[in-house]
Amino acid sequence: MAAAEQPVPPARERGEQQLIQHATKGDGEAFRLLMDRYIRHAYNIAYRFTGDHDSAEDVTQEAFVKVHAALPSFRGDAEFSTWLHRIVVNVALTRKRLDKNRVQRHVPLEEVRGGVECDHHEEIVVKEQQAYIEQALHELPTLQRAVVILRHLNGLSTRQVSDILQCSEGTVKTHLFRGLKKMRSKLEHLQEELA
Amino acid sequence: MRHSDVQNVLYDFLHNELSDADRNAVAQHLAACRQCADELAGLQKTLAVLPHPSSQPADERDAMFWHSLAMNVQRDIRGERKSRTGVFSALVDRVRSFVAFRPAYVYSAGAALAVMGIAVFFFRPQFEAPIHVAEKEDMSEEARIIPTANESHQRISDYFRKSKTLLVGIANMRTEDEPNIDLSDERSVSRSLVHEARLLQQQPLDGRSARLIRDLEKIMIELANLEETNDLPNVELIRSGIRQENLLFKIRMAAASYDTSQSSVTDRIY
Repeated sequence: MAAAEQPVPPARERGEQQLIQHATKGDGEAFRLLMDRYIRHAYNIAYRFTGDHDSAEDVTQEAFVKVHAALPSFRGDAEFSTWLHRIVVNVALTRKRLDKNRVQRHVPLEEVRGGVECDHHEEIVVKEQQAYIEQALHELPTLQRAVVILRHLNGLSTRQVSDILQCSEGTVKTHLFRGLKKMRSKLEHLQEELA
Repeated sequence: MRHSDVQNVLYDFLHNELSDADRNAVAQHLAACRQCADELAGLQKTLAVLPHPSSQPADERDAMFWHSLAMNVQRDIRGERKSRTGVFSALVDRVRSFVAFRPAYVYSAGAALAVMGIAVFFFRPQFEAPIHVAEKEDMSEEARIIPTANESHQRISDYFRKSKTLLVGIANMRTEDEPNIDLSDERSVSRSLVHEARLLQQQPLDGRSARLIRDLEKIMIELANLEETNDLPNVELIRSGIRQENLLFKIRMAAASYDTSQSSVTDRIY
């Protein structure tokens, strides 16, 4: 006797594995739910790599389109979130490399000071600090920058970062220490001001 | 413990992410080692000025933004599905990942290829094949079809003008007055523009134009796949895409940079 068919639960009640399976088969609602779960994480990572909201939006959008296209090749060796974050990082890095205009974002601080037509001293100071920090971050070598962003700014674990970047946990720790040390020397005067 | 071992776990030490045994070992080392204690103090200062993980940029966007972003992704997916397979996409991502994080391997491979190229050049068979008339003709033909900079600019300018005309027509279409709208013209024009976009993407473009042409290609693919008559829901979707992406404005800005002083004959679509 054939087993009675189990009714398919509504998409919202399905677990992640089921959502992935259904999304792979073309279930738009399942993919939408996966997107709802991870879009903010993806956006945060994209923002840290690109440094502005417009680019972060573009990177997130492109990354999810790639995720959808590559879903059939997702074997489940890594967690879905790790796989997705890896795609976001790759899209962000590719975009940074290709987008020549992004190079112009490293604006000398004299221009930041001169360009801000604002009476609020605190606002100017915050803008300057952000510019310093962003500049220091973007001057790091690619792997160090990626580790600092993912481990510190996005709060991922060493294990997660090593899975995303496909390197050992020891490499992540070493690059985190070196990256933060390099930033320390670049931000020394800022630390003194804040002290 | 070696200095480097301690320094590599200072971040975890500060965030209480070490096992008790490791934590005690690091604490003992720090009590006895000035160099590592200084590194710890420096690390604390650096972390104090960096943005804290608890404040995330996504918190600055509202619910409408996430809804709109999800819609844009789904719209792109409809265009993307026709042009790329999952396996190919995954392969491209893997290559990009490799290039991004292991540039030394890429440079080495590039150097090896260069050496091989030089070796092949110097040790190639020493005879010169006669250049046949046909080859000369081919070369001249090839030279003829490579566009000059002016031709290329003119072609891009024409592409933007045609795209704008089509999209203005779509944006201004009065769907409520016409119960049966014939979309066959729009379909055929958008097909030719998709073809043109792909040709344009093979030549050097500035970043803004390249991106705009890619965006327009997606819209054109959606237009090309409309039903011949009365596909109003999809027309509405495309119209909202045109508005959201501010495409008409972007086209006008991009076209302005390509407009040459020589005014060409206006190439009407309709």
